[in-house]
Amino acid sequence: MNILIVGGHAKANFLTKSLKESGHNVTIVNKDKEWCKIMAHSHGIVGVYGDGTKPFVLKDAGAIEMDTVIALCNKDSANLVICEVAKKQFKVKNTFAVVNDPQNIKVFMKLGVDKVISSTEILSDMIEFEAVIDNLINYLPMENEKIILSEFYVDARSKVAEMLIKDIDLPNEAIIAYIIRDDDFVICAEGNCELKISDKVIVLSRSKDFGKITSLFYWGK
Amino acid sequence: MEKDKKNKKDNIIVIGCGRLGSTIAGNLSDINKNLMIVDMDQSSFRKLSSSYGGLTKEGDGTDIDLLESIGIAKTDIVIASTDEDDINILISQIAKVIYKVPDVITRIYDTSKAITCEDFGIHVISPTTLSIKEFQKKIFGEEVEF
Repeated sequence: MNILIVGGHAKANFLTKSLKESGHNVTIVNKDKEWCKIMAHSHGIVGVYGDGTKPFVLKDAGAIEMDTVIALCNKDSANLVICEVAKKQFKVKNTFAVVNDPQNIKVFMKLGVDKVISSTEILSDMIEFEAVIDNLINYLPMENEKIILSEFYVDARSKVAEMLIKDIDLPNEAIIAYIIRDDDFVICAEGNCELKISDKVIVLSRSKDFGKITSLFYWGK
Repeated sequence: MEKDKKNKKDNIIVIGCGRLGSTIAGNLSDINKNLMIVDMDQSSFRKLSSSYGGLTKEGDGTDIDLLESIGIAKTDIVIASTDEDDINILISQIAKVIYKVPDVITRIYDTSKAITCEDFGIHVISPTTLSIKEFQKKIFGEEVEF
């Protein structure tokens, strides 16, 4: 895939590296001339120096050939303009923006940006949940937070400790996918598996059921 | 018709209190419209004429909470006149697409960025294009299309 990354320093560097490793063709655009040079040298990619919100800069970077454009600038408004110019002028299929203000996620999607991520929101979600629920290890919202992939720790206080999976009162559409025992022993969860104390459990659920899931793993005994 | 438009008591939000924003807000306030002007910098409200009878609000004009608090959902006209094209584009699209404001007018210096607003029915005013037209009028004595 041809991917264009506009803006960003550390984020652009990391993304470029991982996208190159998975065999994609990466081009970057950056306002920082030195950074363009460094990126071009260290990753062997094309680095275009310029303001990515300007259509002619995107054109120089070959936007018309791109399958995906990723906007990583610090300003939300710049990322919107980059994605819209890519979409409307260069007919790029996938546009991806990072925003600071979580409220802009919905706004940008409504305005036609395909994927929008807010690191502020991810951070605040994690802080919020971890402050409330000790036993929550990982939390990953998917599909605009409709689905939640989570990892829980089972301790003696958990309602589900020493229970068989089939006996757990799980919400209808939630799935216990894996049990991780002794840190590396992964068990594909089945009805007859028992959850032991200090197990870690991977759960997939709808976000509306998440409250119920957390109550299963927390206190309640 | 034109007279009706002038006499109607419109609610107007102007975002960006620079030379353009402050002058427009002052003029519209003089003909008895309900004005609200927003700017990041409190001191920029000094540019408003002394006869300005509308409201002022200090804050970020791209912030949804702020826009809602000043009643963007019920306003008739939004004018985006900050000094940054990208900000004006974001504000005008929020006003038009999210809040369905009937008339949205935005200033865009870089005409090549106007493509972002085309499909939404936003009125784009480009100082560059306007100046070019005026220059050509002066040179050729009439409006010439190129």
